[in-house]
Amino acid sequence: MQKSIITTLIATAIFSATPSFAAEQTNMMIMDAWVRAAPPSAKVQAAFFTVMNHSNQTIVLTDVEAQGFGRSELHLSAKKDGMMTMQKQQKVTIPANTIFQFKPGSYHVMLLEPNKIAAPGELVNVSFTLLNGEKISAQMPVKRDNSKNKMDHSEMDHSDIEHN
Amino acid sequence: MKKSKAIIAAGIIGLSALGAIVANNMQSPSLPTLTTAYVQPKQITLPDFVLGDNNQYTKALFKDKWSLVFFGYASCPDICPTELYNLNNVAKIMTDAGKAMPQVLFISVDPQRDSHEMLTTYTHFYNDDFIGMTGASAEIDKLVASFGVIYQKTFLANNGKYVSVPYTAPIPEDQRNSYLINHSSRLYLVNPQGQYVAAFAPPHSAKKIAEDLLKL
Repeated sequence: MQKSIITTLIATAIFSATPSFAAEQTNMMIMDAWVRAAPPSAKVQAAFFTVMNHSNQTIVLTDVEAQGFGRSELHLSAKKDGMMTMQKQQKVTIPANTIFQFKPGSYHVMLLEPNKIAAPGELVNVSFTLLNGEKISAQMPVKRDNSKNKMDHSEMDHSDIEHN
Repeated sequence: MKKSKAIIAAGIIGLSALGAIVANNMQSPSLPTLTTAYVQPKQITLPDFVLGDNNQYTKALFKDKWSLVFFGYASCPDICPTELYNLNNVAKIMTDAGKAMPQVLFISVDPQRDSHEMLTTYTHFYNDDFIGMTGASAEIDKLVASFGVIYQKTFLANNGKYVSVPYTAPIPEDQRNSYLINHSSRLYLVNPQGQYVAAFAPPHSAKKIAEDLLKL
């Protein structure tokens, strides 16, 4: 119990933003979520986020759906044989008491068959199915980048934020 | 006597070694010591090629300016957008430092799905100066061979396993829109003489790449 409080405190310190979602039954949170903006002509987008497993059990994500996209898949980008490869994952296992990142160049949710490419400032509702059958969803804002350093702030498109 | 012969021999060896070093440096007169990039042991002069809708992109594109070349495809959701976004950050660092950013060429190895127009929209989303191009696979492969790029088509077969095949190999009808491409993700540096001189291996840091480019 104490450990989970500490984890939460640490997490609060790391991620000052409010959680995108906290599951009711499964003790997990999806934080720091974002969908990468893409040109209107693009055919795919990718979603990134941090999963915090506050429980003493593994959490297994088995499926994903996103509003506005015909198909969504759990993916892993990795280097193999000197090439960058991307492979669909049937499931993603989040170990107990860990903070697990879906980030560029690694695990991500690939959003395919868009009705329309989601633009910066919009929110994409992404829902996950867990192995125990539970479903959780998170609102993921569309951004050009998720860096928090000064340089990236200077290039934020404020016109889009006003519409938010 | 024996000793002096040995000295002469050593001198000859020394001079030839020096000659080799000089010859090597002469091949690349303007290349400073780079920290992050892997310098090619021997500069590779790029072959003649023709890319673009109107065959507008040829070897002449590299003349008189530094270039950064990346191979990818427009349906790539993770690696290519990350790279282009990163290169835009490199461009910002260069501009802030008052130095010219090398031209950025994004070459799509997926001409079956990517058009010239789509690639222009795609690259301009990240930076208006970036150039996107593609063309016949045979033309792309000339550059692919020079840079030592590897790429292949990959798709999920009915048995749930990924199958990788050469790009031009036929694949099942239902996979013609959804295949993925495995590709090298090095960033290649080409000098103003049209020679491939160095490469940045992933993971790419905008700051580190810019540090090397600022030395050019």
